[in-house]
Amino acid sequence: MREARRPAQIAPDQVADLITESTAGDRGAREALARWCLPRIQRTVLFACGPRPENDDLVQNVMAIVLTKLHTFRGEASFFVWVDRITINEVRRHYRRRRFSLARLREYAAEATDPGSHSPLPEEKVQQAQLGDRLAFHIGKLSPNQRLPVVLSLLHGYTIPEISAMLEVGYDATGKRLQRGKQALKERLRRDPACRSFFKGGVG
Amino acid sequence: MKSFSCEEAQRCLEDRATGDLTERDRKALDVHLAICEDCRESEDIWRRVGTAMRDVPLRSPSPQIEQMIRTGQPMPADRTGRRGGWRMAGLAAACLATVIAVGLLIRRAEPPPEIDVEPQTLATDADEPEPAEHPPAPAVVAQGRRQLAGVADGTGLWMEDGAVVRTLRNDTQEAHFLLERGTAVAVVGPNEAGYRFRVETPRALVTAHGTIFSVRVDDDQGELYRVIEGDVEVVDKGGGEQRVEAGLELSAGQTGAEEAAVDRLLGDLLIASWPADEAIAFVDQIHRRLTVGPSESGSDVPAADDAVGAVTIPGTHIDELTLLARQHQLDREFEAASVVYEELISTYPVDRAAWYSHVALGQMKLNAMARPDEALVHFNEYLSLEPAGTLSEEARFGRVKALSQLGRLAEAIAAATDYLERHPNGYGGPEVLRVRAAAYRSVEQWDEAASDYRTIIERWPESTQATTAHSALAALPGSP
Repeated sequence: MREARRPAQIAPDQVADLITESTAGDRGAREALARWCLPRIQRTVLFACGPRPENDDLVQNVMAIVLTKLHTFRGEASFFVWVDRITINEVRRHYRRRRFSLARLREYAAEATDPGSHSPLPEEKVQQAQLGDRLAFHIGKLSPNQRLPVVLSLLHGYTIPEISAMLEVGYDATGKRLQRGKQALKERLRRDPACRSFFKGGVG
Repeated sequence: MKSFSCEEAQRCLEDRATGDLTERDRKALDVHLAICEDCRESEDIWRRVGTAMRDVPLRSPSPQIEQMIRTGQPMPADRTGRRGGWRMAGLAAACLATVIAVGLLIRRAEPPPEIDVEPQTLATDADEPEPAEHPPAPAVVAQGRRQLAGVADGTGLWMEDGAVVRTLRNDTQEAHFLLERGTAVAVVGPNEAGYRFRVETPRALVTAHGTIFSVRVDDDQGELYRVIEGDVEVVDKGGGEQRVEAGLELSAGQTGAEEAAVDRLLGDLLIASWPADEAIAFVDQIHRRLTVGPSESGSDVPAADDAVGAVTIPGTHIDELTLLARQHQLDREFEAASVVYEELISTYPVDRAAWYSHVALGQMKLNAMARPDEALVHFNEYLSLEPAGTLSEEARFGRVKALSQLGRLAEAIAAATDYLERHPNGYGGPEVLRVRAAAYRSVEQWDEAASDYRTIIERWPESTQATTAHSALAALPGSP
């Protein structure tokens, strides 16, 4: 029985072996594989859905699918691409559960009416926030059709054709969504003092 | 030398990552980057942001996740315990329609093909001085994309970019807006008795209680009132009045072309705004509403299209066909999807969307329906229409796999070679090489097969194909 290993200890060429052993019932291999892809799933969910307590549920759902469907992995794409596809599908399912409602529209109306909603956060409050959480917060404010291309591009380095294939959206539409998403994100980051380190000279 | 705008440059930066940039565009991009500090800065920003995203410290997995990793068993019972619950109300037709309404409002702002419904981008007039009990003249004029909040809870007028609205009255008794130009969507809550919400146009006065409706005023095309939820009363200034109910619309001075444009707008909006399957659900809802006949609606007002009646079959609009095909595909109703795609292709033979459908249909037939022969026809058809088109790489990739599955090995090898030459950095590189190597192996061209396997291992060492290549290479005759 294989001992569970930390993610860093798995070399890429060992993945195929781990998958084979996992599907054959080796619990150690399965655990190693799960631990290896867990941070990737967590990050994708964090940035695709924003920093929210229910993210754990989503991560858990994804992990359940990965572990139970491991035998269906045919090796046509890399293992991470396969995991990312599952994650993105679950995230999109999650989006669908959160359809807009009249109540939400009114929440938006209230937010738009609030003169403070456009102002940067107070400096001291911002300093308490982690940069990652701020990033996740701002990315979470993008519209879903922009958010996923932005996350897949910036976090995992997928190209437009890869994102296009993963999201089943045309190449041109994907490119536009990515571009608009980045533009919107840049504007948000520029307004947030906690994120000024991303800009030249640390100034927005 | 071609010159770039910043927007084009940003797009080219994305293309550069995939190696898809032409020499001419590459030079133009270099020139642009040399003179544009903003674009240079953008590259740095995204690099830093990407690093920060990958470095973000993660919380320890929850005990449930930890247990699942250890046992491999999904959690029983409340493992998914969805805090806060799903917004079931969001599934209601009225709420679907709300999205349509907001989308209509925002989508009208041309030229952006995509929409960001993020509320923070909306300006508001909430901080403007509240009008007196009786409206002073001249009224407050608002222009552009913003929300005019009513005094009553949950009430407001959402304006699109080109809209011009005068606030004639906005107090506890009445909100009265004059829409001079453009499109606006009114959201009116179930307010206290006596509160009136009115949108006036050059031709009519629309009064509502607890409803959502859109009004569009266009100098050339006339006026259009579309009710999404509840009902409204439209009083024609020229005489007469009509009650318009949810799902129906009333036009004044509108041409057939404009009606078609409005319908197309819906399709464009949905495709641009939401994941396909979600958009399909919206279209399904709105379609039923818009096509419900007078007898079923209980209204004397004609439906949008009496001839259609209450149906769920699509119209002939290309967007609707596309969405329907996608819906069938998502539901794994591949035969039905195939029929709709074929219909789309035959109805709109010169529309690019139909050309793209060849690729979608080919991929579906190849991957889901095990019909590589039919898939091949569609890939070939697309490539004949658009050899250097947006989906040419996908079509060539599909062609390689289809030929391989058909056992036409010589052709598969030629197709793979063609793919690799035309898309040297294509996403399907390792898979195409794997397929070609397997084909070489089948025809006992061992050296060529070995060469392809080695290329996979060298260029994509972390790919699954590389893992396969290692074992395949070792199994080749004459291997050490």
